[in-house]
Amino acid sequence: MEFKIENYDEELKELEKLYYETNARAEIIALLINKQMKNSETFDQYWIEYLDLFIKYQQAKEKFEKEIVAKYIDKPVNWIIDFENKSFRI
Amino acid sequence: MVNYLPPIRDEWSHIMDKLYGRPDKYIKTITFQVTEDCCLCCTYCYQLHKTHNSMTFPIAKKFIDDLLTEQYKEITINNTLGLQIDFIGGEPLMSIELIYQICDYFIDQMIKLNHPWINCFRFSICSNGILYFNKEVQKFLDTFGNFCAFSISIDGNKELHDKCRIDKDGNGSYDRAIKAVHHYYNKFNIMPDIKMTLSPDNINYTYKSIINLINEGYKQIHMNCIYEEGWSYEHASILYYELKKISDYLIDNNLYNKINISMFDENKYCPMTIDDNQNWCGGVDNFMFAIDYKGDIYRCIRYMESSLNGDQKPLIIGNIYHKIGFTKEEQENLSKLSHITRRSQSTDECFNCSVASGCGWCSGYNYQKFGTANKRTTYICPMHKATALANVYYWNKLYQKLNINKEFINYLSKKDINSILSY
Repeated sequence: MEFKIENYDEELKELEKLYYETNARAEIIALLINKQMKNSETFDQYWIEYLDLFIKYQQAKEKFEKEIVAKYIDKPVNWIIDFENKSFRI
Repeated sequence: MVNYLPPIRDEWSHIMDKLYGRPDKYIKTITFQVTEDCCLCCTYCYQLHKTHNSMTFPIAKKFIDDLLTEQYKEITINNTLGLQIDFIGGEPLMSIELIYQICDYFIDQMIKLNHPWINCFRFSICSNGILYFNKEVQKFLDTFGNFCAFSISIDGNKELHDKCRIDKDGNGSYDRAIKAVHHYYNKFNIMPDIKMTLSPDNINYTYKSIINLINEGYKQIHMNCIYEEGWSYEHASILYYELKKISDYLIDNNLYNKINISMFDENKYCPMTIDDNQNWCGGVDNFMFAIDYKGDIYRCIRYMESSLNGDQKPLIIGNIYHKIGFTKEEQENLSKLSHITRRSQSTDECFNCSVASGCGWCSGYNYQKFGTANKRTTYICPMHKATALANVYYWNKLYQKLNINKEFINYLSKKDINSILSY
């Protein structure tokens, strides 16, 4: 079951930003591993930044899915947010 | 209300602009024409003056070095949120080693410089798919695939594709291209982007093509009519009835909220206000830059010699050695392009058209045709009106089926409708 996100409020926009920032860091880290730069200072720096972003995103997402999603739909339990398709899915 | 709209996968640049952009800081696009050469001889290709010329790495490197050290005032960290880097041909995969080298160097330099664009960049390649299975192409996708929007041109069904997209021996290329599409999907779990180009030669196949693409797994299909000369109201009539059949297929099979066909758009095909005065085509604005094998800089590849086919002089705005707007001619070219608006290039009939919204044009083709980008070609007019009429049918049929209390207003005149339906 899918529910389309029609209008973004600031909180949802901030969560989406975190989602893309976390992804961007993860993609660079994967590239650095591919380029065998796993032992470089750059890798360490990006890895720390990634972990920081990832934790922030997970916490914000959990909070959103449990509490804020009620603003958008009646039954907030177990809904997963999907930014790629701009929707909540059960 | 019932969810009647299909999902839309926004382009990466639109997502970034929406989340982080400001009026004075947005995503800019840089196009490297890595080769003019191609391995196909498509019947409708607009690049009639293709040669075997290809870019060399030092040309690309010089541009990247200067770009990342703020030597292009038009593309700095203060006015540019991030970059989309397009690789185009000819067939870009013919220069895949160069593309790999450019991407690798670009990322390495951003890391070395701790450049903010490392968080906001994408590559983009549009290919005919013929060389997709080459080892070097797969190596590129393995390394940079996550940073690259990859599209493979499929014109529709096999019959249509093989009629236009032929190799040098006259063989069709559909089977090779669709095999690449399937492989890409299995590798990335996402369909490559697709854009169907409609021309007078293939308009009869529109319905069959869309059905084939849906059966192949595409959920978002961009389609547009070519801007070039050759359209008539007879073609418009064919397009209308083809789109009507597609409407019936989508609605009767409950696919209306699953498949996105770009020609069906609830927000278009109405009049535009006089305040809506921006040039529709991006090929005149300060967010597009294209570089050829010599290092000359243009707004778009359509102003390059390989696209203009000798009809006009290439419209150069700079060079990698002296940057943008250095010579008097470059300054004049920039000035001319930057002053173009919807009003300045449109006749009164076009500007005040009752279905102006959604109508498009190519400023590069305008320049090729008239020697100025500030005058619209209007060959596409009957096709746009046919699309508008098909939208009236599609949306109203859908609203009726779902008991939605809405009406998609028809803004076309009786004369236009009669012209479309009279064939």
